[in-house]
Amino acid sequence: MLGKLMKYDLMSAMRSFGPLYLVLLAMSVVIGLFIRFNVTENFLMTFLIISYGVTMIVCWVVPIVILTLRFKKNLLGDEGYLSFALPVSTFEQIVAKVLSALIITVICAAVVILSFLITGFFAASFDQLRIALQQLAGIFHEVLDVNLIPQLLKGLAMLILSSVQFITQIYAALAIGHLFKDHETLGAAIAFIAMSFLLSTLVNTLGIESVAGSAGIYALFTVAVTAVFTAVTWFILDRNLNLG
Amino acid sequence: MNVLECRNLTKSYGSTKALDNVNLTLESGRIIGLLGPNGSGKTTLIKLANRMLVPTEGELLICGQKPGVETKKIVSYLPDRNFLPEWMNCKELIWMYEDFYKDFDTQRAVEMIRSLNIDHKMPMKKMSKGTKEKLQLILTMSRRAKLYLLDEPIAGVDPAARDYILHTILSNYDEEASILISTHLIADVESVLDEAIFLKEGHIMLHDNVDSIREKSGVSLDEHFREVFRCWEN
Repeated sequence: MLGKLMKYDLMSAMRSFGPLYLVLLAMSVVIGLFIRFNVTENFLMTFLIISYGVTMIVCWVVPIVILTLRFKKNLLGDEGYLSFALPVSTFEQIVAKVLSALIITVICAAVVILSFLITGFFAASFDQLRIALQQLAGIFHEVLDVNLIPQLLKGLAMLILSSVQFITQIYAALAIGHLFKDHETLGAAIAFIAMSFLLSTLVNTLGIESVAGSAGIYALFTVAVTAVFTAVTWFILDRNLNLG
Repeated sequence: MNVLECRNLTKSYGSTKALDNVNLTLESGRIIGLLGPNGSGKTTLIKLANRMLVPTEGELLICGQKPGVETKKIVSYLPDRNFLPEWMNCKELIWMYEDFYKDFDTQRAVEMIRSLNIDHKMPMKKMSKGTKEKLQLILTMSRRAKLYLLDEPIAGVDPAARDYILHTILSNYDEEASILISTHLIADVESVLDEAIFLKEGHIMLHDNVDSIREKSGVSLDEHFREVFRCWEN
């Protein structure tokens, strides 16, 4: 059932910002070609670069906005009457939302990286591309030589853990907001700010940092915080739900 | 077999009791009207049966089980609002119901949708209010459930649509199943009901066979309802 829940979450999300990603990729091609043929002084080029920057920012911001709205609408709005009538547990509903959000975040990051690569590919001449590829191969060998792969994997794991923690924080804030009838959005915003403040105080007090030395402690802390946020969300949705 | 049972069921919102010590037993194979004015506790009872609310005291059982994942497999619920995602069309909604409910009868749903000439590819957001309500009812009644909980299925639609809705309800339920219809439009549903429950301020005032109510009161269910509730208001 988890997979089915995620399927409909992703379908809904991609419908909203799939076209935006296509626009970004198309702009990467055009900008790459402009650079390739030295059309850099053109007004159109300036306009394109500004638009590209704006689209890039939107590509990062929109998923957060859409995931927030999706959780609110799908579980706490009128669609909640459908979601909570499905034969799935509240915990599965929350896990599906977190995993879908994580997938969307990964897709978003991949599209942005792809967009840079496309621009580079179209902007460079054949020789430049050949040199860039050689340099890339050199960096790759260096990474292998000094055995940086475990560090890279650790960094990636940290990034994923932090993203999941951030997502569950948003969901917990929305769930707390649900308890404030008629002021749900305000309640959620205050809850989010309060949680952020509490978290940073806790991190400073305990002296937890995400540096290599204390990575394990940081990871444990992140997992614990994620579990607390998930438990808060579950408790409210399972025991204190009251759809309007 | 008891399809729904309430034992000393109480639901409070702060200091307000929406349901107060309700004891109720519903058997299978019956069409039951849950009747009462606005704010009488009808929706609260239905939400409790769907586990969208948790009882303050007492318990509610569906086929002997507390509401949860297992009972949701056998309960088909129609809320009193537009609850389907606006971005989805008929086809996608049917896929979704197929995905989540093993008892969903696709053939039945497709036939009913075809009879209404609804465009399969039209998203919900482009449908009229009446079409949306009919589609919601079709999806709800296309399940082979043991208990159908219909919250105000005919409120807010024109008389012709009411006839369609009642016809759809009657012609699409398994005789082993029970239907609980919550409404305050009694005259429209009276002819299809086997039993009626009068609910007032969270208390059950009456629960009996419709024929028996008519016989004892000497008037129609609708008239009796008006008399009873007028009495309470004085």
